[in-house]
Amino acid sequence: MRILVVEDDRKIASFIIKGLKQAGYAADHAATGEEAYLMAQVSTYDAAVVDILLPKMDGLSLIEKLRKEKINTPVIILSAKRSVDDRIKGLRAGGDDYLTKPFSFSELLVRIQALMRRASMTSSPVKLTVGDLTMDLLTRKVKREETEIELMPREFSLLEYLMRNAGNVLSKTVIMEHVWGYDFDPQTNVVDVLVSRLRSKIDRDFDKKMIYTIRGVGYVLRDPQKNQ
Amino acid sequence: MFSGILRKISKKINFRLSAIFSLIFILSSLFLFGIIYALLASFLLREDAQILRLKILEFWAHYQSGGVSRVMREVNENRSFIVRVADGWNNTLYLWLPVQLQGLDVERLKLIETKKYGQLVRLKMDGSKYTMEIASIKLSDGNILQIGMDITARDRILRRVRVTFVFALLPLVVLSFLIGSYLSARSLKPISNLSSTVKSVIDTGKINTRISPSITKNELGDLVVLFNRMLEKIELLVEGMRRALDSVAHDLRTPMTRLRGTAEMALKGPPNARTYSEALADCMEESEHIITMLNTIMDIAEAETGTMKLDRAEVKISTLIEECAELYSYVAEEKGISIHTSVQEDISVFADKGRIRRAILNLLDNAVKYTSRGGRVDIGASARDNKAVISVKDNGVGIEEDELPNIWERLYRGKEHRSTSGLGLGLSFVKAIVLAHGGEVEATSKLREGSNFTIVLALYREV
Repeated sequence: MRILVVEDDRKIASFIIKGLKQAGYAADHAATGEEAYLMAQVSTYDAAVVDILLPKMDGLSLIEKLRKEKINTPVIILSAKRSVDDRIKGLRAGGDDYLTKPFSFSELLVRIQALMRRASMTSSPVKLTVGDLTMDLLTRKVKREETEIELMPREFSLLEYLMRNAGNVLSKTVIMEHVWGYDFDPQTNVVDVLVSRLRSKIDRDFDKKMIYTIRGVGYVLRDPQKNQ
Repeated sequence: MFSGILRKISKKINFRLSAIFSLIFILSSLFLFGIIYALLASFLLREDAQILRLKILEFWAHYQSGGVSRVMREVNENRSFIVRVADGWNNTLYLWLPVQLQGLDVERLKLIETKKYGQLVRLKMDGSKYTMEIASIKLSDGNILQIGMDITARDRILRRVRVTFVFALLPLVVLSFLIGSYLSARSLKPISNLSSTVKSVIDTGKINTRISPSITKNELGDLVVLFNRMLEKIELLVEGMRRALDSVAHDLRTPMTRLRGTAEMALKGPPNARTYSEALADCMEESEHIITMLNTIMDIAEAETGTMKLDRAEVKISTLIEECAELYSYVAEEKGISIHTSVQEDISVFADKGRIRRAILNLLDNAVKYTSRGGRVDIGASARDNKAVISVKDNGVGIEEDELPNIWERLYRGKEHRSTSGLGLGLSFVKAIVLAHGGEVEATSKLREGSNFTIVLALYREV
């Protein structure tokens, strides 16, 4: 998997590329829109991260130009503007997702993976498995080591989201957006409470823990067999 | 140079109006004078003609009764008239000229054509100012009788009238131009005030300048009032933005100091992976906090200055409240608080769903936060006087009476809750959002008994 990062700020670019490499992807860097345009024509990328504000050719024109040449690499737009209008402008230009600065790397990674999954058109699985934890999406049954676990609807969707992104750290904001379907920054620990309830059902009675808290970043579901 | 100035002046509305004003004045005076002059002249003319006609009849009668000698005798009574009697071949039989017309050449009288007999013929004496009118008739014996009179006086009167008019007109035109420019300048004053104010606003950037309102209640006066209102609105907007910017800078200083301090403290000590990771986690949390704060402050500022774009649609209150209650159900359960909803069915408002939901969630968040174990939170909605009243009530710690008016202010934290985590922006966000929707917020509270927050919005009616 090869990802193109178009960003003129060196520090941001380097932390994105470092993170992507850590997650097992190959990543190339372009500092200007023109450079990115040439690179996208020479090699094929599975996804691109494009900053809107770039010297010379800006991000939106770059995306429009790529789309005109039928290069349909999924693109995540990075922007400092968070108004709905800017979002719509970005998506209309041919972007597939929109992320506002400042963003957390784990959120970017989750979104890139979601885009690549969508692009590869793999039919959504009926069954999710992480280690000894299985989830049947049709019967909505969750089992760990053959023990059936009863989950409330929100707990179920949280677990599904964690399992689909197993190994990735998910921030509270992303969880909020995916589990409840809207964004809100609660002062009280709405997400933490839901995670701790889920943890009590998934992890409490088992030796090997699967749900981890990464302080300051978010939560991650890990396969205890794998060394992640 | 001069022509340039002239061209510039001639383009000014003030000048144009005055010029048009003067032109109209000149034309109408000319017209009036023309009528008066014509009337006067024709009156005088008719008067003289009448005299001549009477005289010629008189002399004709004398001639009939006593011939030329009788005429000669009568002339003594009428010394101011020209009297000439000629034979059929136009040879002068008798001629009398008044003193002032002595120099008149008889030939000129002779030259009056026969076909002009019966009419008045005007003659001007060569080399002098005298003018006369001659009436001629053919007598029954073939002789010719001519009577003339000096009309110099009449001409002089008419000339004087003309001259007087011209001399009177000139200053009047100047006066009318001046009056015209004064009047137009006066009525255009609001516009010149307006442009000078706008110029000063542009030059100095001071938006608190106002155009001095004119006394006249006309369209231009209205324009000035409207313009002042616009300036007021702009000032309000700019002031709001400036205040928002100030408070953003101020509000961010505290968390930024904490962020910096955390990193600094960790780096100052001996290198230790555990200390570092602790500090980094703290930094992450602090930066999350800053981002949230920044976003909320921007939202509040947008809502307050009226620049927020509301994505309005019909929103069913019951669904909204169920959603909110559901989000907090686990937290409440964990804290041993019960959340109850009582919503009158089919109430809808026309609102930005996401933002109103955030407002209600903020109230709910507070209610859950400030209510102790075993407490109870009630979310209700009902219709009252065409309004939807959404209330979030708790039996928690409550707010002191003297603090109640301050709770909507940004970053205000109750005395007893300074240490509780939170931004202190929640309620100001609620207020800003609800006001942006044209609604109202209210809060009542009793210390240690609980608080009741209400959001009042206009009911949605299907058209």
